[in-house]
Amino acid sequence: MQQKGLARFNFALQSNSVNANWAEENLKTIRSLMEQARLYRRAMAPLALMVGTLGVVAAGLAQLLGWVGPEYFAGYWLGVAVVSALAALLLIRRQALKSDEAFWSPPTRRVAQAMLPMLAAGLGLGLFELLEHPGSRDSVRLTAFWLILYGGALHAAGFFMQRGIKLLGWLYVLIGLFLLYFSAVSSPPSINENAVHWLMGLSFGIINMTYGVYLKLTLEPMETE
Amino acid sequence: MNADSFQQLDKVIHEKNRMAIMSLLAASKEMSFTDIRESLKMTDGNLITHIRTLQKAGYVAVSKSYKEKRPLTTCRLTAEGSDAFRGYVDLLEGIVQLARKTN
Repeated sequence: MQQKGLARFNFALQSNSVNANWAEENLKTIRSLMEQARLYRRAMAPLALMVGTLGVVAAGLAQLLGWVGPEYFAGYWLGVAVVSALAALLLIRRQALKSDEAFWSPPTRRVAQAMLPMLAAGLGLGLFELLEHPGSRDSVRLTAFWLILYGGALHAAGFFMQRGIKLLGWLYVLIGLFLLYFSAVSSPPSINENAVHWLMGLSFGIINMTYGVYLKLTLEPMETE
Repeated sequence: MNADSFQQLDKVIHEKNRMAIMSLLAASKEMSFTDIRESLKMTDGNLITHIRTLQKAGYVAVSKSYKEKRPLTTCRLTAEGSDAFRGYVDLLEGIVQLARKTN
């Protein structure tokens, strides 16, 4: 009888503990979903369109100004990357202000933290390339590495976001790998230092723009009921 | 707050899919049907069923409109739904705090 009572007491204690664990898990799920919803509302379409447009315009501008060749490439595109990052942050800030939300919210911070290592690696590679003598620089190979790293950054961000960001990341990684293969083994004559600005414009510009257009077209959902 | 708090949890919200829907809606003024479905990776049928249950309880309001000639279904929490969700979260937090004090 005594044991029965004790067993019941233990059961009550264990049950309370299980309930508390369960409640804690549910709270975590709720918090994470709420953060995800806030981030979800950050309009990705204008962001992708803006970054894409900047990429295409930058490629055209470099050609127009005649800044073609390995002596210009790395420095020029590092500058474009910094401008794009600043413009993206300003756009996100504007969206946050519009929605009356904190700019540096936990979900935004998580995405930034996820992307940072790959983006930092890209910056580092660009700077190392600048340290090289222009004669030994390889802009096609650098473009390939940048594409792979950018793809990795997008894929990492995809763990906290939706709408095919991971797939887009994979696309960049694959394009980067193909380009790396071409630059190392059998570079077609069309892929060279003269065309590499357009390669950047096509890959970073057009793909981001296409993604932005895709989001814009699919963001307003179809009736499913 | 006592050991029976668990029993006091709102039964309508106390289902993992509906809790997830309520969480998403609590964080946004409104959310489209497709966005909820994609966020939670639910099927159309499943989502419709849970939204109907929440609608019946008065927690969620569904509105239908057209945007750029395309039909658009959006969901939002009602005032009653917001209160119920806040109460649900408060109760969960209470359970966790009670367990911490007991330990």
